[in-house]
Amino acid sequence: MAHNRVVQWSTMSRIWWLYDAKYQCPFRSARIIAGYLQGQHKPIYHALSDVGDHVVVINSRHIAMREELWRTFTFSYHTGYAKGFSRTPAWRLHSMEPTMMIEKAVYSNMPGFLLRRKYMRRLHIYPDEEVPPEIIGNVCDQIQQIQKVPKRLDEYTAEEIQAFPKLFDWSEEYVIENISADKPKDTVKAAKK
Amino acid sequence: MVFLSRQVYGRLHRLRKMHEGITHPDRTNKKNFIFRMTWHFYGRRRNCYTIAIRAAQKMLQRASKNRHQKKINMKALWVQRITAALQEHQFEYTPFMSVLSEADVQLNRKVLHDICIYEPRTFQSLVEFAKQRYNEMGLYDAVAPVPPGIMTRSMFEKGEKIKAKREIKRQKLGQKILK
Repeated sequence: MAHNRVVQWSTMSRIWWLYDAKYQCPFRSARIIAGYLQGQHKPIYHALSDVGDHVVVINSRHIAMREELWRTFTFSYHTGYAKGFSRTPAWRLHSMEPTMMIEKAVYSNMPGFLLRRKYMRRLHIYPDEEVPPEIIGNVCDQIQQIQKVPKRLDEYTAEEIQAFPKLFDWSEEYVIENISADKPKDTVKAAKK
Repeated sequence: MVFLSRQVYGRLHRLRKMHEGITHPDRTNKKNFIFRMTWHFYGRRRNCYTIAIRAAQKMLQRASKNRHQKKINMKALWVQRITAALQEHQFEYTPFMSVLSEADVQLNRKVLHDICIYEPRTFQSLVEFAKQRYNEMGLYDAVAPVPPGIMTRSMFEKGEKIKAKREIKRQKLGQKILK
């Protein structure tokens, strides 16, 4: 059997992946990114053989968290000395360093052995879409986002809003609460005058 | 008299002593039996008999336990690798294996794992077959995502349940803080 029966040089090469973190949950996307850094998406994966890829994360400033997690989720740290404990809410950490949340989430999603630091060096996080050309030049594929990016109401054009199907018209007798709230005030004012 | 090795001299010395009246037999062979197993250990676990025999027994216990554990670990690795190979073709492990067993394709995890590394095209054809068969069997309809723009009663109920759970959690947290 010839040894060159299956020649797959690109199997052992490191691929650069792009991940757009816009409106994505940092914790759930960190689990996926950690898998790519360790090479868990490859059939030749082994925990001790270093077959992981590079991941470039962009838009880390625009990550999204559900409910009130920006306020309630905290990162704690202890210096090791007395009174060395500190606790920072997520919004504060994110405003200070917009790449920190993703980095911490990915770091905690990987097994704690010596390869972890090596894997983390292959993670490149950028707060916006501006990436240096020597990094973005390597990127050859994209990781699928975990959730759909929602479209804001002001992003719709007037034509799209006009074209949206209207199932029925409100009857004239139907009172919409917010609109009716203004009217009595005027009438009261008018009555005073 | 010339003795070529210390051991032989020691044994003959022992025999002479036994003539003189020592009753217990020579333990050299028994000790060597243990030392032959502990030659690669560190420190006194290697050369001192009372310590070496305990280390050897523990080693044998671990060896017999890990003979079973090795099979479990290998199976887990195969499953992980097959899952990774299926991810390239947008398919999942459980439906893939269930289709193969249903179609009487007698390839076990070990062989599938070898195929997915060394013969990716063969593996791709297997996946294509599995995908088609999975749709034919109608199993996909049960787990298929709901098409966009459709709301059903069950979706609302599910959301309500999740909300209620969160509310209970929040209340519990609040009670803890009050305490």
